[in-house]
Amino acid sequence: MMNFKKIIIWTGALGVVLAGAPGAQADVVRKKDGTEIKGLKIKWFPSRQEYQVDGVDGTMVSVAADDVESLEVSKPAEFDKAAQACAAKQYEVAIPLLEELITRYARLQWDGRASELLANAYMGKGDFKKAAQIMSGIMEGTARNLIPDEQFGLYWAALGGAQMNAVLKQSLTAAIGGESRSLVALALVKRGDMNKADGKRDDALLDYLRAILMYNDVVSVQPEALYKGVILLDEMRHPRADDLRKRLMSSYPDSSYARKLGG
Amino acid sequence: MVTKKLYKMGQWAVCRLATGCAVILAAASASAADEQAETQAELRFASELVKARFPDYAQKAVDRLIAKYPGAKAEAAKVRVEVLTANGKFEEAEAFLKTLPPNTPETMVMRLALGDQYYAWQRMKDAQRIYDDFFKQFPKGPPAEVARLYGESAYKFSQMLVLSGDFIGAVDAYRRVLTCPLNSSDIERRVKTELAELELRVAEMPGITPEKKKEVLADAIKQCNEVQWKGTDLWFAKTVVILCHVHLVNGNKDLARKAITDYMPMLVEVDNLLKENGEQQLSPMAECKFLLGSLLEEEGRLKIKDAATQPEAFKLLGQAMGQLYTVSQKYPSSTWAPEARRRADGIADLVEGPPYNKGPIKRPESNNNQMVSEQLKQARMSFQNNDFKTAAQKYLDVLGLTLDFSGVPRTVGELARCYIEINDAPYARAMTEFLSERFCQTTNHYEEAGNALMQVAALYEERRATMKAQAVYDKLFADYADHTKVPPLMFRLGEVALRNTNTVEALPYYNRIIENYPKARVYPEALSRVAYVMTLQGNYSNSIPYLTNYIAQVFGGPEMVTSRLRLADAYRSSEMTVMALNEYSRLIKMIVQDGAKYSQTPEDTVRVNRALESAQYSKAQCYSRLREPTNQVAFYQQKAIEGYEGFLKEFPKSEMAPAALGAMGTLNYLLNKADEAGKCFDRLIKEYPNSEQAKNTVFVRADALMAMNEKDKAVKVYGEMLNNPKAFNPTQFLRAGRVLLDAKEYQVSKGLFSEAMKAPEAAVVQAATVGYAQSLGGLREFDAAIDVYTNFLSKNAKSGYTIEINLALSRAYAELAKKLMPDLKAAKPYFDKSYAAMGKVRQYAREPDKLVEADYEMALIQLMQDEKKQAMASLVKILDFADYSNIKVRPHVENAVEAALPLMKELERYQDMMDVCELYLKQFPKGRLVNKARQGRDDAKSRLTAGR
Repeated sequence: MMNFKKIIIWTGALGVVLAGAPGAQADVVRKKDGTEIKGLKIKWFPSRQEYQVDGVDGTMVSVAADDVESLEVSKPAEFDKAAQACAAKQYEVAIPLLEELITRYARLQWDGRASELLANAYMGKGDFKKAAQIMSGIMEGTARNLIPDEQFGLYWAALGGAQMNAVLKQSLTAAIGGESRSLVALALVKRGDMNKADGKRDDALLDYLRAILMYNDVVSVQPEALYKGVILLDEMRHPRADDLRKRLMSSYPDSSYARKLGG
Repeated sequence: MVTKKLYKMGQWAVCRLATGCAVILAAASASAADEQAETQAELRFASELVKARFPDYAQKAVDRLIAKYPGAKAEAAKVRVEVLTANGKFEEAEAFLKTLPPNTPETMVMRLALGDQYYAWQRMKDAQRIYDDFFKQFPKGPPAEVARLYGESAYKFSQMLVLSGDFIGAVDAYRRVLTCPLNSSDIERRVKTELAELELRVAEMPGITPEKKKEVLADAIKQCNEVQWKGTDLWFAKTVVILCHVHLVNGNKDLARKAITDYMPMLVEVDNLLKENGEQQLSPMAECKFLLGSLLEEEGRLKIKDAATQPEAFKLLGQAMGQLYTVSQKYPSSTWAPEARRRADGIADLVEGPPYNKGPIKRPESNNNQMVSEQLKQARMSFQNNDFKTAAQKYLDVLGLTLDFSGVPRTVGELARCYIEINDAPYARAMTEFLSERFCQTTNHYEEAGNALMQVAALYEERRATMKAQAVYDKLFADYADHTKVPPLMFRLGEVALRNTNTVEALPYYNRIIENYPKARVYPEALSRVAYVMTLQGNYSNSIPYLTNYIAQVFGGPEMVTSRLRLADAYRSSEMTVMALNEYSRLIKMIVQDGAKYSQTPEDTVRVNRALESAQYSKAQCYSRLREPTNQVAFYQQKAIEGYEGFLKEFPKSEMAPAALGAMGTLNYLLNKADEAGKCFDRLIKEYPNSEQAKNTVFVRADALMAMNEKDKAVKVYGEMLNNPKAFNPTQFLRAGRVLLDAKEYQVSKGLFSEAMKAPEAAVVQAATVGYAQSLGGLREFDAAIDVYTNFLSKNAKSGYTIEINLALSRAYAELAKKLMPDLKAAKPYFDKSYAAMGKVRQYAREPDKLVEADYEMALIQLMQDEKKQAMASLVKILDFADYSNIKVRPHVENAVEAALPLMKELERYQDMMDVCELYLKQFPKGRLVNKARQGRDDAKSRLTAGR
């Protein structure tokens, strides 16, 4: 009984120390068996395919990569710096910072976020090929169902910019045949863009309309699909342009696409 | 042993075959399942496209599906019918249905769907024909396999007939429904109740024969009794109301009252049950109590007049008040509530007032808010269900209660929309005007009222009542100028007009935004659009200030690049070549140094690259156009060549590359560098063999010279075409002929058109013949021109050139007549022919510019005939009635002013002369006659002063 009380007091004290220490944020490894290991720092050892959690008391716990469900690693200060540089279009500043982060935080959560940002930076620079390469690297290392739609969007945009149309078409076809309705809708809009750029207006319109009519539950894609449908119909002088315009204005009046149409 | 082995092998083979078959079958069925799933998904999509009014694309989707899976043709038939009917091609749809096997359930379903479409297109007779044909197939009732379809169709058809006002037909349809097994007592009782209700309506119809009335009422009672036998529920309660009405129709008020009072315990039971389920709005109790109250009131009001029966009357009126107040207090959402309240208050007023003075009567507290909100709910439900007549009545009830509630403008707007839907134009207009005027001075209803007005206008637009929609928008812009949605709305209307290429209509919308809403989000876009419209109208120089202002509003992005390109193009088109050159140079530098700044997405990058391509080409072109100082022209031409070279290096695949090479070749000729020129044209033929330019370098040279403003040299080169006509095609001759006709080089244009007339295509021949005759006219060979024109008209009576030719014919005859003047007798036949041709112009022309042109030409002919007063009248007609805002009309108006001023002076109509001059200066502040107009105004003024 006495021992148990002591443990509680000791753990509580450690908690206070951790919480009180400036900048002492605990990194966490969540294992597949439901347990968590907290520590001051998590390290990745590629040769062993293991994580190592350095405890506050100097202990080191190794966890096999296969046993890990997820990680929670404190955000490196350079990440925000790089993000700010990207926002200010200072890509020359952002790119080295991000590349360094990707190496330093390989398999430590922030490599993925930094890669995404890096791809964005290269896109901003107009180097779409490099952006596509980075995105492809991220996606290859991740299970398909864990890739968020935004990453697909970025990847497709990069492929389009790099004019890697065959790869883009293949990736879009795979997404359209997939099960995620939100991804299908997004892919339809992107395929519409591709068809439009190729001068296949009818195909493009059918893609946009398919996204609008058959995936109207995918709210995130609707404004873009409607907007692009309106623009294309306007170009084709099709009388139904106004129907879609009204739909965009009334259903998504606050979207950036409605604003683009003067709403 | 061997046998055993063979047997084993055989077994194994059979197993393998079986396994193989299973695998093949599984694969085949998996692939068939995929095909089936895809087919169904595509057909659903096509159906959705039809519903979204894209039948053209639905057809495309179906065509592609059938091309991929030919077996899907049969399944696609339903969508095909949908597509055809959505396009109004009913005959085609019917013909198509005839090709399908008759009497199969699928064909029946499709035919009935066609009937539904007829109904949707308000072709009730055709819908009825389809449905009747269907029912006629089963005179003794439907067989089991189509019983469900039969019953559902009969029910749907009955609803169509009710909505069309054919209650007798609807009764028959309902009776058909009852011939089918309905498989549910609840549904059966509902259908019977609805049938009884309908029969009651038939009995109440004016002009119904007594026999029919008796028959339907007897059947209604029978249906009610059958319903009542099977339970005490909503249908039971409804039949009580129906029976009560049946007694009333038969003139038996006592029985009606008795029916309600006798059934009251059961009605209360049903009412409580519905209340518990939260469905009190369905309860017929309110109607029963209202009916009872009304009957009691009626009797009470009769008896109060007689002193002997007054005590009983007070009792009856008291009971009536009780029932009616209950309806208004306990059933505020029912249709009867507002009327019940009015009636109850009316009774209270009667009893309290003289001569009875039985007051004061305690009236329940009036709870308008609750009643308004409940009634509004009901009204909106009817509105959403497209039952606009009922909705309008309910909205009126609400607005009759009060005008002081939140949401009142929306309510008035919805009422106006109901009237539009039921085609009650005067009431719709009255409500719209009320809505606009009543709330425009308020602060709390201002935005809501503006929104409601917009919805009214939108409905008019939807119904293609453009003038009415415009009238509502005008009211909105006048009364709600500060409404937040007015600027985007103006912008949208501008866009709609622009899409229809009606620049004259679009321009005022954009200009209003620019003048009145500089802080609106659409302000920069309005600037951009005005510049665009100016460009479309050929007013390039006027687009420059708008583009400059627009550029100041744009924050980065590809718009910055494209807008700068537009500005440079505007300078170039306005012949402000140096300004254009500077702007192109700035733009190229901007993109080369900082291109990434303007491209966030791949689409942006494409746009920016295109802008660079265009800017580099146009910059070189600008150099080729520079003519001052003359001693520098060769230097500029060399710079142009360098520019084109740079352009070709960077954009070798550009669509403009062949033209650039052609221009380089021509510039080298101009610089007397024949070898270099030859190399350019050789390169053109070698590198772009399929380009139009490579096929004919002479034409390219002439075109390039025109682009460089070297008109004289271009005319010479075009003329060279006639030396070797086989090298050119008729379209090229036609194009060259037109250029030279515009340049008034009639002799050469005549030859070029003559070559173009050898074309095999009728359209080219027609255009070339007209050009040929115009060239003859230009050469003043009017007799020959007239021959060509008349010959042309005799062969092409319905040609698109009829108006143009008659205008030219009229001019040609007038010129011949003029030659014979002053011998009016000799000239008259020609003048007559001239008028006749002009009459044809007026007969066929619809465009305002053509009509004004005809008036102007008429004035000129009248002047030739020395009929000055008539000529004056023709000109004044133009000046008074022409649409000055129409860009195509304005040149003719200027011509009319030019012709009218000397005539007015000669006829001493100085006041008119002054008015015309002032009008001109106002309408054409930068026009070509500004000096003449100022002089004319001053001259007229001084003469008027001297005259006084």
